[in-house]
Amino acid sequence: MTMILCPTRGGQSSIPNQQWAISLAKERNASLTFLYISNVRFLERASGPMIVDISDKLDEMGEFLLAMAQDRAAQAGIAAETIVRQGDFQEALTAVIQEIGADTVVIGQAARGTGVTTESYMSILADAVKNTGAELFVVDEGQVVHLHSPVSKTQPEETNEVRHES
Amino acid sequence: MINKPPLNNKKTTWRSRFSLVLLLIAIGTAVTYQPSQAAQTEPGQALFLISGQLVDNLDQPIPAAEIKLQAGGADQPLAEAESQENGSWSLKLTEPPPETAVLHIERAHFQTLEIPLDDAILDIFHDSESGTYNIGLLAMERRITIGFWAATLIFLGVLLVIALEKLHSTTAALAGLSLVMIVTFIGQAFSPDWYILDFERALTYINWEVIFLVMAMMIVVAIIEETGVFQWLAFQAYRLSRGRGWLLVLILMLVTAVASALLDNFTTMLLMTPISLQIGIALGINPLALIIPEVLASNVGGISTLIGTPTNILIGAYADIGFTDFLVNQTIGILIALAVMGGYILYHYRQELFKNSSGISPVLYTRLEENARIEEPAVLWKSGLVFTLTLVGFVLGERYHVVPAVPAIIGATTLLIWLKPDIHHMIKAVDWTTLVFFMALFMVVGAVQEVGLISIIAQTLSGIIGQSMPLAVFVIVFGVGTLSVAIANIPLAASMLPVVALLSGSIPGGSSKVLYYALSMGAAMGGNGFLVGGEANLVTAGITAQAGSPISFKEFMKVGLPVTYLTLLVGYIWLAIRFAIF
Repeated sequence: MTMILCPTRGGQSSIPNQQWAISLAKERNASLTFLYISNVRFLERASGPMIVDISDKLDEMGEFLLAMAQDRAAQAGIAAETIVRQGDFQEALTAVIQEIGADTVVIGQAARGTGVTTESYMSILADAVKNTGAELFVVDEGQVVHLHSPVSKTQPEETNEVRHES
Repeated sequence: MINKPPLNNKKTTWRSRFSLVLLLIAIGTAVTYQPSQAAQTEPGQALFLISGQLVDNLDQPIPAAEIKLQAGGADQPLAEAESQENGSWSLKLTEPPPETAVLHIERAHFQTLEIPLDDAILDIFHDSESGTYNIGLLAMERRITIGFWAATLIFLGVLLVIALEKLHSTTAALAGLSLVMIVTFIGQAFSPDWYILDFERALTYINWEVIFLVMAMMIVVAIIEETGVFQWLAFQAYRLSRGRGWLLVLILMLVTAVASALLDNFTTMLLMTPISLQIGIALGINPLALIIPEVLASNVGGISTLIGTPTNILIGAYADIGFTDFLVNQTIGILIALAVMGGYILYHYRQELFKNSSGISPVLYTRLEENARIEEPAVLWKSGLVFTLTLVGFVLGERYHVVPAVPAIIGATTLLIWLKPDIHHMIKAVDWTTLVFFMALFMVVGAVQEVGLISIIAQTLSGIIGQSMPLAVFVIVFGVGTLSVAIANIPLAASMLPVVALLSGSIPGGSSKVLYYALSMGAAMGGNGFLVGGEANLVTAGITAQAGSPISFKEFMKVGLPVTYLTLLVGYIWLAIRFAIF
């Protein structure tokens, strides 16, 4: 059975992308797992009194955001799973792809205003799926903007810039 | 042969310990005993005393100046002394000074004074076997040295590096301190004009009251935080509002403001942001329409108490302003500012806050309730009780001249003994990075104070303001508020404190400390202008980005800047009424 992994942050702009993953899961009769990865490295730059450890709070927030995605999937008749991880995005993503044996990854564009360029974001994603053989769909507002096909032993890696309706 | 009785071992041990203690006391007394000059005077020997006080051109006392009385041609001084913190000094002589005696006063960053003793003084001493003479105030002129420029550049560099986030603020302050020391010790080898201040003098600028108060409050906050009370309060706000966005945001703003006043705004936002995000997203409201108002309210709410913002802790310790003083003189003004802010927020986010909520599914509601539960009710009531008693301690302490750090330390220790949390965990909960930042910052600000930069700023401001208190309050509230929009408010407040002290001393009505309250309002309210204006803003933006709702600089500024100037205006009007400055 096809296994689709949808890493998401759960914000308003993620909802169309989650819906696209749900549609794909329905279309392929696949299993769907939503993934939330929190990273508290942004706190390293803060100069305020760092008294509390908010890792758990961020995990709870992640679980809640994924529960909402799960709710959307349930409304579409898909029983989705959820996973919350902490740490480096690329490492956590690679680990989860391998752990659940995902063959398709559906993910949104780099969030605006985070300072992450599209190039570096795509490079991170390409590295994460490189050795797993997973197919990668980068979607933006419910449309696929980038497709990264799995690497074959004999064929070169195929990367396409696409833009079509989901 | 006489047999000796067996020795009582216990008694011997006790005696030997007692002897050892006595010996240590004797050695300690001998080592620390420094006979005073007066004590050196043998009975019947004459004692002549010359005293005075040193001030700068702003009539501020000059401590640590070297005062010598020298006879013409002699290498050794007849007497020498160092001026105290209040600028006073006294020279003790065992015989009348000769006619050629000259008073030599030397202090880094000031013109050296050479004052021959006039005949009037000499006559007093020659006509009697002992006597005292008070010269009165002696004014020393500031000297602009290379050290002045070096200290000024280092200080500005530290502020710039912090503002541009090129280094962590603690690293920046430590780098500044290191440079001050390097310039002082290496530069001095080439010319005494490179001298800024030595380490011993720099240490005197550290306000230990601030350090201990902040440290104790960190322990208290770390214990209270674990109870989950913040998340519970946010969830109750949601329940009370019954999903109405406009009511929810007002309750959340009030909760955040009160929590920030009693704890600190940075921690409050760390804890309130994740749960508020969940509520906003679940209700189908843009979560930023709840969270940005919360962070604005947290920055303003903290102003009403001594412990609400780090800047208030600094101001309170420096100007001897207590917990009650802040409450009485700021709270009503802050409540009015919050009300005005609330009105503006409802207008700004009217489309989000007045739309019909989509409602929360029962599953999500249960999960939200679960995330907002009180995790340790027993810890909550115990810590709540101790915290309340600590606040009572702050109030009572003012009557008995007990500094706020003392009840805070007692409160923190009581919690450690009563609740027995893991002490290693609690010590880790103390943010030493922040404490080191405070210490290094105090010393860097001390360096520019030492070289006279603060006096120059104060003189310039004084020239602009003249003797007008309404203008002075206006300049401090709006000037500091505007600077604080872009500059971190802790270093700004720390630098402005000596300036405000000088202005308070020179402008009629300054003794009411109104200028310190103006500084408190300006520094904290200005933090709302830009996203980079306050640490609470930045950490909130970090958390919202984790949930796919990043706060852009522009988005924050569009609401933050108008709120800043509205609240500054309210603050100014409140101070004008409260202190009747017109």
